[in-house]
Amino acid sequence: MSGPFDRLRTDDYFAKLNQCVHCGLCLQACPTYAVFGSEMDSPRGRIVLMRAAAEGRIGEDEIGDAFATHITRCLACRSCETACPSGVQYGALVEQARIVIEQNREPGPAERFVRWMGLTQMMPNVGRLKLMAGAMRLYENSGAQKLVRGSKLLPKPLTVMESILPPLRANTNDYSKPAPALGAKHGRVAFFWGCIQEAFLGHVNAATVRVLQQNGYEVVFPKAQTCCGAAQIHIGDEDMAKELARRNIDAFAALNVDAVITNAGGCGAALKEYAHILCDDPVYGPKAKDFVAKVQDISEFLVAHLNTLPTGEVRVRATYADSCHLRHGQKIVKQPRDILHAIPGLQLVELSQPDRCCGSAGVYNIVQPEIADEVLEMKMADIAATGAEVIVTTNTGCHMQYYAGVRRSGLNARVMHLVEVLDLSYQNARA
Amino acid sequence: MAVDKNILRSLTSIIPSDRVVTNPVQLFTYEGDASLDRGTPDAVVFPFNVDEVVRVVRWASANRVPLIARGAGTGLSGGAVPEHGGIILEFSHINAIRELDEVGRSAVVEPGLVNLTLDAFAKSKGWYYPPDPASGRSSTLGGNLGENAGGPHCFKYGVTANYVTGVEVVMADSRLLHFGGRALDYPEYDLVGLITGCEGTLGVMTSASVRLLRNPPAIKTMMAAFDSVETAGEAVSDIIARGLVPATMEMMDQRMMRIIEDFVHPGLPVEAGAALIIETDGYPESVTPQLDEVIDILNAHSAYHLHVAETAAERDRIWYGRKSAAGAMARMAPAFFLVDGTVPRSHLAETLAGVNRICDAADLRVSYVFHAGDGNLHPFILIPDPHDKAFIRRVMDAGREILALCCSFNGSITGEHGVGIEKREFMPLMYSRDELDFMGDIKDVFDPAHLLNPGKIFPTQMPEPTPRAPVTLPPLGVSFAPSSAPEAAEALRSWATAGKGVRLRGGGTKSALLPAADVTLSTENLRGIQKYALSDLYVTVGAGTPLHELQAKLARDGMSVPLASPWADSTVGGILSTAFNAPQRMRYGGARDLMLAATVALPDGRVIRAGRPVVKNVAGYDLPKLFVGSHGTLGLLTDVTLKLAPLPRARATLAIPVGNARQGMEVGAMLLRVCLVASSLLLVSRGQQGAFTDLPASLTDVPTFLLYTAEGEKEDVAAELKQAQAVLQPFGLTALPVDDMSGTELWGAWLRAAGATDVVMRLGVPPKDLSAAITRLDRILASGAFIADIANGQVYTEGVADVVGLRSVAQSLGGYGVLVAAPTRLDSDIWAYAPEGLDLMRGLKARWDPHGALNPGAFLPALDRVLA
Repeated sequence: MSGPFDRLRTDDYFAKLNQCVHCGLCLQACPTYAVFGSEMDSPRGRIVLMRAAAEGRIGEDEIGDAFATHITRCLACRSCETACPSGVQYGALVEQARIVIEQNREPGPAERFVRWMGLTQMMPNVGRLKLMAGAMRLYENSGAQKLVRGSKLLPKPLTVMESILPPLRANTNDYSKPAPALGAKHGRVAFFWGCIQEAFLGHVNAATVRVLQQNGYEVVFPKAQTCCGAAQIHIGDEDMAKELARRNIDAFAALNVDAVITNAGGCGAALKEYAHILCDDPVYGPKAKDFVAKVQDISEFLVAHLNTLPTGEVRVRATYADSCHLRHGQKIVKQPRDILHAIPGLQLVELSQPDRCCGSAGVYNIVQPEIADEVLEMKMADIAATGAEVIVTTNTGCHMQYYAGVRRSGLNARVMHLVEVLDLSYQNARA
Repeated sequence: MAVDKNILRSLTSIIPSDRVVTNPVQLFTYEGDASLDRGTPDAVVFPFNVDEVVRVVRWASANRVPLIARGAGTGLSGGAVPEHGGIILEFSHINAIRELDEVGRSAVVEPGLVNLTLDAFAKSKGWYYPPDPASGRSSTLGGNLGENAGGPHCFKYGVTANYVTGVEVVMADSRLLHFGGRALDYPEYDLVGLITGCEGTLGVMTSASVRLLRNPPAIKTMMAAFDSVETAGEAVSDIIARGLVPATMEMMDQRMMRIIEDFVHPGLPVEAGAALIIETDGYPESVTPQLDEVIDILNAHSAYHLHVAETAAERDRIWYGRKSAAGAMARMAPAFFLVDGTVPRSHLAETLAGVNRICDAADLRVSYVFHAGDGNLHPFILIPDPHDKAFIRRVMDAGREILALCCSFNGSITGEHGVGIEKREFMPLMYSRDELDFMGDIKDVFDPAHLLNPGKIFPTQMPEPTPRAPVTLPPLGVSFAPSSAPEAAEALRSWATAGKGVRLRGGGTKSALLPAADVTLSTENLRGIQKYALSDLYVTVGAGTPLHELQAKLARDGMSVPLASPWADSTVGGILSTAFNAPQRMRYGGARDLMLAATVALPDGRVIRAGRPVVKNVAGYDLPKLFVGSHGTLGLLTDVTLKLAPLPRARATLAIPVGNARQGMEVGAMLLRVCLVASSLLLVSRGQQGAFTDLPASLTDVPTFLLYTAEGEKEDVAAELKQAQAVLQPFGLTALPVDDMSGTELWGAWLRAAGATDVVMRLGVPPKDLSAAITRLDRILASGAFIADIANGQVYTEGVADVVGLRSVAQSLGGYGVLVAAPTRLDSDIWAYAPEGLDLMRGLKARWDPHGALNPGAFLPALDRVLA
């Protein structure tokens, strides 16, 4: 007999559930617990709900009710995994629960259209995204943005999407030929440019390439690459995610490179999960393992290969806001800080809760805007307390979320990707 | 026992419906805590303020619905599990630090506040809240108070109860009452001590006043490896015997080290049989010599891999690992039974051998962490399949055997996790029927309908009463001096039933103040040391033993009980019954903190044992605290077990002449911030006619001065006095060193002299308001002399005529004023105080002394009148 909860009733899933001894040490790590203060919006509570579903205490007709509410409220920031002494793989647990919910609900026509448009037509196609970004740039520069923001006429989901729109610059990135190493050549890497990152934050990608060149790496740009699939997994669209994974694996196969470099914590975490999501695929499963072995976050790669020391002064007070997917997903905590510490003049001030999610969480800020706002508000208060002039980030979603946060809180701070700060140091050294 | 749907619906007329959860799926998440117990609530309510809590309690009381107050659900004994359904009060939104009082070194906190949040906030301002349960990064102050939480630093710093001075509680009948407060030693039964550790069964706590200490400026943390748990245990005993007081001594066995290492990689010596984590704290000048001395001892016990943490980050790593032990067990098995027994420390090795034997025989796997300093052991018994009922029964049987073993060494079934559901059937291992009934009386008085956290603590099956051996007494006459507890109980019983009022007499130092009674029972034959457990740091002594006699014996071993009295005849029992605290309580705790256990003779002929000779014991209500400061109106202490403290290795006192009292208080408040190893900080104003003349020569002509005593390790004392001197400089004040007289000694000599000729009053006010009190009393105080105990918020006055004026100022500041000594008896009420919990006090008194026989006229008159 098969039913909607079947994927929660495997031995493997029960084993993962059993790992939780409900000690509660995860509670304070969880951003939604901070907002609601309720057990069902905590990691432990959600595990109780997943167990209840697996054990048949929640009816098949109840999937869309409280179960869905609390599971989808999760930001999937995996902060709880870091806090968990028992080693519970919360991310893997909640991912399955989300798929169950997704497969058993009927989104309305408007949502279906937006999702279809965003997740299947736009994100996997960076060309279309760039066209949109161009239109948006026109919107920003023409003064229409001011009018719209003043008018408060947009429906809520669009307001959120509009509010995280970064100040757009013209994208001049040229991926038609490899970028050569500068100075002594140390190796060759492939660059994963992402979708939103490339379309809306192209200057981050440009800085990434420059920094790699500066450290003696030739950078190649496989044309067939596409969106990483993180957003699709996040909302439970497993099939689309698998399809994107296969395309990327093919795109990066047979390249003679030392590493596949990504500069977005969320993309990196998703790329590194390919072997997991394709484990049942006889053809792509083994290929995925080879691919994953090469994927590295830019900070991870640079710490090991910082062949050119940053000597240019960047005299700012900065704080580093960890990307959840980098910190909790990829366990990369120290590397970005090491790089910042290496930059002369830069004063790094730690947040009181550097591991707390900013509320972006993939597409969370678009699907759960009210909660995301509260989470962002707490984050901005923490940032404001540091007196930082620069907020250093390592992920696309966070980057855009902080643009919105800075604007809304009126904070006098600049948002920069880690590589932009490093790039600035190199520039200042030359100046 | 589901609550009627219509009744449940009426709850939403009290609390907005979006804060009342009744959806069955959502309720799943409130079925448990960190224990194995489960129960489904009828609803979860999220109050936003105290007023809403009161309304929910009123509703529950009217509708007879059980109420369970819940913190973060990290409890390990099922304390927050709604076994009988009912309403869970979720306190996550009532979580403020209402006030941080940096002058009075205290904080007012709400129940939903997370322990680590308070700790971090206090530390950011230079203060320290010591109770640090392993769950501290999630668990709340409400839960911590409810369970009387401990943690790894109890050996030096004590448990939660030692830091709570006042509570705001919603009673079962929905009255909002305040017990204790921000002053110390209110003239009332220690209901604060009862509420702390009551596991939510006596009231719903809505805020608490907690003491803070100065954060030690330096800490050194080290780890050492040993071949076996036994050799590590011997090293710990040796450290204690040398009079060292490390901030913590934590032990773990090999299996536990491997589990923790796997999680946080703190660098544990995983190849060794056992490891110790030892921490010394104090001034930077002292932590290294202290640690060196520890290291010498460890080396003498063949320790290896000695490693001192170099950075704060490394130290944090070690503690993060240690405190994750419970959760990290899941790497071994999906569930475990965590034993929480406590034994007097010297029985640790024996107990561990017993635990191994018991688990081997039952074919169970076990690993350990334990608080070696205070004898609290935590064997984790692994449960590979939580659904295997037969296996769980085997585990519970082994657990029972282990706890029976702890009890056979005079230990406790639970040191810090609480009884809850999990250990309630084990209560009879530790307590007799009489003792359990005594606790049951308290529950009945506080919560007659048993609506607050029902079913917790008490066994479902009460043990049979133990038959009492017959006691034959000589004809009693008008006075009697029993030589045992049963004799005392029998004498009290026979007098009580004959309608006599019985004066309890220790050293007779209070006789002059008390009215005549029909008969007198003297403790003079309950004298002498009964058990002197040096390596366990306790002594059991007859209540009639004069304090000085006890101190003289202890001093031979470099030990003392940190109590003091001005009067040579004072007995240990008298000091405890009257909660008579000296200035040095700021360093060592008060009578309520020092009495671990007592044997009590009740006026109905029962003899009960309250507490056990261990620092950590949270099995049932904290009865010893109830008897401390009850002035013999509830029962007679026949023997008492007291915590020992090593005599300080160094002590020094500074006298600081000041221009006037106001300047003295101003400087005193600054000095209070320095106090880390200070044992007293006094302002002495000798007035015009003070009887006290017994002063060091250098002070004979000084009318007003501050006296600052520091004691402990010599490096700490030197460093502290240096910091104190630095405070004086901007004021242009000079300190005179005083030899051979501590603040506590001066206080004693002063009281002795003053009480012999004059009326002596004691005012208690919140320490933060002491300065205001002295300013406002300026004119009144001018008629006499006084000593202000700055750290403890006490003012002792001599020969001040306007008693009413003194009291009214103290009371207006949330304090009180009582008579302490006088050459002759006064007719007025020497207490003049009406505690908010008076009807509860009367209820308790009526239960145990229905004839009103015990010590009439010795405490609040209202306690006498109820029974007449």
